[in-house]
Amino acid sequence: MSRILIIEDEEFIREELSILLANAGHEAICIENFSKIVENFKKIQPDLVLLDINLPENNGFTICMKIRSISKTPIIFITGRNASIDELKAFSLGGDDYITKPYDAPVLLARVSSVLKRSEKQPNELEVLSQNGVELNLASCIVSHGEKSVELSKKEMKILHCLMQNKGKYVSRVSLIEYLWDYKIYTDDNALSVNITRLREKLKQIGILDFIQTKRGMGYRV
Amino acid sequence: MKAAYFIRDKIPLILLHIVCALLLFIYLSAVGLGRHEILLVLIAWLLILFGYLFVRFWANKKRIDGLIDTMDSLDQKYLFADVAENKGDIEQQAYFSLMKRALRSMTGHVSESRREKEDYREFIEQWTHEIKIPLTSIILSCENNLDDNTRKILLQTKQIEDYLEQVLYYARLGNVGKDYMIKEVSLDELVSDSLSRSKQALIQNHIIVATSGLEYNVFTDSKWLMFIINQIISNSVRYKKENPVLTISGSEKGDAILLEIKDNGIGIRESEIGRVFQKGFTGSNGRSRKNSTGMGLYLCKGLCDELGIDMKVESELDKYTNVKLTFPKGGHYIKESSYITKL
Repeated sequence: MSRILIIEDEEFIREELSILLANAGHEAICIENFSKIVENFKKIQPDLVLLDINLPENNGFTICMKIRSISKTPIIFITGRNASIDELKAFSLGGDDYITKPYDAPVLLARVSSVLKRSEKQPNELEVLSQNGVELNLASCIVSHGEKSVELSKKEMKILHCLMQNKGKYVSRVSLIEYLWDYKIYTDDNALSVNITRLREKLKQIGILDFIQTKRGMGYRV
Repeated sequence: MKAAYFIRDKIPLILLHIVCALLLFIYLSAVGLGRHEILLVLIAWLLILFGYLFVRFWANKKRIDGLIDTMDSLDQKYLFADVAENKGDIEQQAYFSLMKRALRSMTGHVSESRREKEDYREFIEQWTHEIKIPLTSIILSCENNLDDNTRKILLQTKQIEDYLEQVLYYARLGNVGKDYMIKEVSLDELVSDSLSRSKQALIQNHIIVATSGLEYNVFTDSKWLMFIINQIISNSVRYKKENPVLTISGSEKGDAILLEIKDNGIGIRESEIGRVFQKGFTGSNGRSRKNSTGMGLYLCKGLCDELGIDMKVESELDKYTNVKLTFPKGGHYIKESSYITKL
């Protein structure tokens, strides 16, 4: 879990951003008093800062400079301004990334985790997921059950990964497709059915039966 | 200036001289001067007259030619009255100063409307930035509460975003030189960001997407290119047919990188393909779908030209549309007055 500091003056966006980050498993902290940002920054000691440019009192560039003078914490600018000169300024003042509004949530999360990864603040993702004796190794794409194991395709692995992450909950077909898209697997409804069937067959080979349950209109569950 | 025109201009003067010469001839005959003497006087008169006319013609021609040269050498033709020398007789000077006044007032009007246009452009740019704040709020709020309804809203906000970007980039077109940053851009990252942005539209329209050969990097401005790709994908979604497929592929061609975005949609008529880049051109496709502005491809082409990307559209009616973007490899095209940075 990484601690992310949100410096954004639009209250609504601030709240939604913190929900988004919290849902993605980060700890989000918002600044509401813009006159003591640097003091707050020192107190909070975040792993990453999301920084808007148009702020009351000091603008984002000034804040970035102040933070850079005391810390190497990665800073991602999030702003509505998309002129190249602003982007250039953001990078030259030590910003790590620059995202323009309106941003797309998966893109934002991907950028956040890639910046965290670069700064080595990203906790290593759990490499093996297990449930009811079924073990999924994310690195090698191998699912095993007792002695037996079978190799999955990237697509099948991601489907199983998504279902196992949402243990016990139904995941709708649309959500599954969207999840795959976030990993650059551009699948569609028909292909998904084929993949689920194939995944079930592979699981059957190693003696796992009825692991993935289907409920009409609701989706899949493990 | 032609001699014939000059003479035509001087006809009253010449007639006046002929009448006076006739009168003089009659008078001198009446006082009893010999024919020879009279003829001599008249010949002298004519010589002086034509000598005078010739000199005037020559001087005028030189002056007019000089003025034409001055005009030709001017970039801003309306500054002519301020630059040209005001010589000549009283009448010419009067005309000249009248023209000067007319041009001054015109220059005033031009710079005023230029200022107004600039203000307007700045306002539009400001406005598009402000409208992005509530739009971002809506998108985030929907993404945090994904269900069938919010997915529908996201589909619509995507369209708002596209139209908003058109406005922003239209306001900036022609000013690209002041606002771009060339860096090495990964096609894969750019395409996947763009697909991610169009995710709802593509998934909800059941469009099958296939990508290949995107491992290349190109030197360009990522935000302009992103806009271009977004607009092309939007078009593919808008003009789709049953069983839609969108193929995005990169390849190396000689010393250039080629990015192709191909759909199997309704295509473009052969008679219209030459005009798809025209501003406001909607064609029969646009007219039959009603919600086309005819601005998307026009803006894309304009931006591609400024960025040195070659943009071509190939299509067959009812079969496919293929948009080809060719990026010069290695060295890249830089417009004067721009700055480049490699990050």
